[in-house]
Amino acid sequence: MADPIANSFTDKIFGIHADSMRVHSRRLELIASNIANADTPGFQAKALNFETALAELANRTSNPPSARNTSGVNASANTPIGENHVSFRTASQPSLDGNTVDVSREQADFADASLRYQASLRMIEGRMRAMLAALRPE
Amino acid sequence: MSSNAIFNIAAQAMAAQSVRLNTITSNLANADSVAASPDEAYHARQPVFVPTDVDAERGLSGVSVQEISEQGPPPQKQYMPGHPLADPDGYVFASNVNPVEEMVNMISTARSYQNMVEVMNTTKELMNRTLNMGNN
Repeated sequence: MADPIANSFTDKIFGIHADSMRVHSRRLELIASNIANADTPGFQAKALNFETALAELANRTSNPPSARNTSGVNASANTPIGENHVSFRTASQPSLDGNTVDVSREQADFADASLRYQASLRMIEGRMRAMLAALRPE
Repeated sequence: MSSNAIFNIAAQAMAAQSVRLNTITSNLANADSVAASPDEAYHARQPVFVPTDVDAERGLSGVSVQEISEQGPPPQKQYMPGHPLADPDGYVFASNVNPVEEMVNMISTARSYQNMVEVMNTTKELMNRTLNMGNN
């Protein structure tokens, strides 16, 4: 049987950062897919709306459904980020072959996503250090 | 982070770009080749890129080479009566490779390949930091 106290405890110490890492890694995947297809005729670039995706994840974390599966893991935390947050990008400069990937924009977005991912990572590490310091007898 | 998807996508893209680089090399090497008939003449090769489903559920696509197309303008007919390959009328058929186009393509290929290397490096770095979380 799951331990709801432990689950809500970890949710509280890591806060929004665990969700933020998931959202930004999802963004990195989509951007990688766009850059890989920069030379593919007719390819439509996709983007994740991370504000709404993050809001949905944060909402799931703060209002976990009462039903938890037998492994004790919060089932909703492992469900993928919804497709409804993924949209096609509008091409800033339409090309003849119908490809809508703008490589410079994707590169900038990739850098942004990777920095935000690292920022969340730092915050989680900081919280872990704080908890370890509290646990350690001096 | 399901980094596998990113590594998969980057690897596919790098493989596709290296196929493209190979065809460009082959085209440039044969830019001055001649043949005895239009059919035998060297035709410039172009890879045709198509998206592949890496993870359809999450809308992730890689890229692969569907075929190597040999379309393009017809080979140039050149009057060279003394050439060993000349036909009875004294013509040889030169390849339809446009070296300028190939050079531009080569730059584009190199840039795309470098982009994927960067994507892979960044992802690797992020994965490493995630794995070492709390160790430093």
